[in-house]
Amino acid sequence: MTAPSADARSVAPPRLDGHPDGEARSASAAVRWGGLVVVTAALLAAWQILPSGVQGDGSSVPKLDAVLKALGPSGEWGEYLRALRTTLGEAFFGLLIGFVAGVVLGVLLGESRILRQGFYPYAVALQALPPIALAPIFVIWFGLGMESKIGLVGAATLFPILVSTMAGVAETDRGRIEMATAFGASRSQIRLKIVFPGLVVPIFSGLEISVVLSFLAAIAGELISANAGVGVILQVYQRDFRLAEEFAVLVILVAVGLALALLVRLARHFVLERMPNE
Amino acid sequence: MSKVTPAPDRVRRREPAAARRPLGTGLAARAAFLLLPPVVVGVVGVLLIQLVISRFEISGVVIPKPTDVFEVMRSEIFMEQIGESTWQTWKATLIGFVLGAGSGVVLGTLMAESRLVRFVLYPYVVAFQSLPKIALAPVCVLWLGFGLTMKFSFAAMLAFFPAVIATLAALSTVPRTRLEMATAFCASPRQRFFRVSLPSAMPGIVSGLEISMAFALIGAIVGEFVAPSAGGLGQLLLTYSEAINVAAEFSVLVVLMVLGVLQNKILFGVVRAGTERFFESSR
Repeated sequence: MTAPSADARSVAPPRLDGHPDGEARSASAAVRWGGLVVVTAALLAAWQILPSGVQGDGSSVPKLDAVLKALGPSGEWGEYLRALRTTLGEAFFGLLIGFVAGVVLGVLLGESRILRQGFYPYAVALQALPPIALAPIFVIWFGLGMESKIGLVGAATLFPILVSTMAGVAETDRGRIEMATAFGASRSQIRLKIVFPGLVVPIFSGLEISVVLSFLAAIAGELISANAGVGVILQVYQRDFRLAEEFAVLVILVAVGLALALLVRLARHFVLERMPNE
Repeated sequence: MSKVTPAPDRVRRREPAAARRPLGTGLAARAAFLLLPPVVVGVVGVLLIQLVISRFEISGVVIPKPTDVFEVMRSEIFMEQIGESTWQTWKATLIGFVLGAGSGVVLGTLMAESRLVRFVLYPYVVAFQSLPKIALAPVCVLWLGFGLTMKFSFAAMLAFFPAVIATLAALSTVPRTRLEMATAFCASPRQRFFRVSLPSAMPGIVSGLEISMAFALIGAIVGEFVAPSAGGLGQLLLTYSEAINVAAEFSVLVVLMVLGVLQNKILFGVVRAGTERFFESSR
């Protein structure tokens, strides 16, 4: 690195080109969109052609047109939607429980040093336990219905919210609290005007993780034992070799997952917009 | 560089304080201060649960007594089963982690370094990320059967995406000024990547790998739940669940928790310290 060798000099210019602003934008945009279209077309074509090529046990990957047909108006939409309603209901009520418990416990642990010291190691240990592993116990406790999945979702979503809320309380600007104290604010005023508004952003970042987790935990719980829901129809389709329907459900799940993520973003935007400015 | 200079200063400042009070009591006091609350909470909690269960005669199916759980954990059959199952699960976790997170880091690097690759693959990564990947478990069983292959493949798939996202994020937030300085010093692209980008991105990548490892464990267990003959801790949990042996289930959960803490906190604490040390020279 001491003296610029001929080799280094010859390499330097393209690197400057690779720099974010170095390229001519219009040309590279065309290349990128072209690349995206070509790759997508190739993938879709492969999906249509290849499964028939390995027809030996061809049922193992459904062809694209079969999946599209299962997604079309002649698909099993009644079944899909019923399953989705069950799963989303479980995810929603479980998330509600996890959210309320997570925020309350997070505030408690964040505000009290002694509680934090006493309970935080256990929170860390419990968080290291994969929440899915609790599913069989929730089935014993609450049976095969929605309740066991709601419990599982609650347990799975609790910790991300608890941890981010606690971190939010701990990271409250000390200077602002001191200033408020100097102006004679009471403890409850400090909480309402300084600590709690500062929690909105961290709680939303915990919520973003938890929403994804809630959907995942509901499906995982259904895969293990349930009488209705997405996890159940996924297993039924697999057992009956109805893979077109199976893949159709997976495509629907992608759409629902995207919609959920978008919903949290919108909610965050909406809430932050409405918050009083500092 | 800035890390080297203050060191002698720090040592000098610490000396009088150490001379004032004996080192032993200071350490012991601090350790006691840190350890006392969790120990008190643990002991009181366990005693309270035990008392409440025996006082109100709550059935062992609802919550097993802590003493019952201890008894199960001490029994020889359990020890035998748990050792074998833990190894089964962790083997799948580890293979899955290495395959999934390894390819994830490679793909994340490609995406961070090439705008074309990033632009083309990003929609797919986002789509796959929003799919609850647990839902692929039945298909994985169909394609790969009930054995170890299915378990570690599923674990690898869960471990893959956090590694991609973390690597991409860490490499694309390397401070511009450092890259520009490397360019100004005529570093080759390779030097720029290995001497500047990678060391700066390493903490972010390691945190991503930590998440990947946790997901790999989840993947292995879900694989064992879904494939009825895969063995491992998931299988053990289901077996005990069918026998409604809740005390044994709790014992498995305790083991799983210890495994989780060991791999997520202890192992990654070591890995983190190691990478920091390794890359310190080039930082």
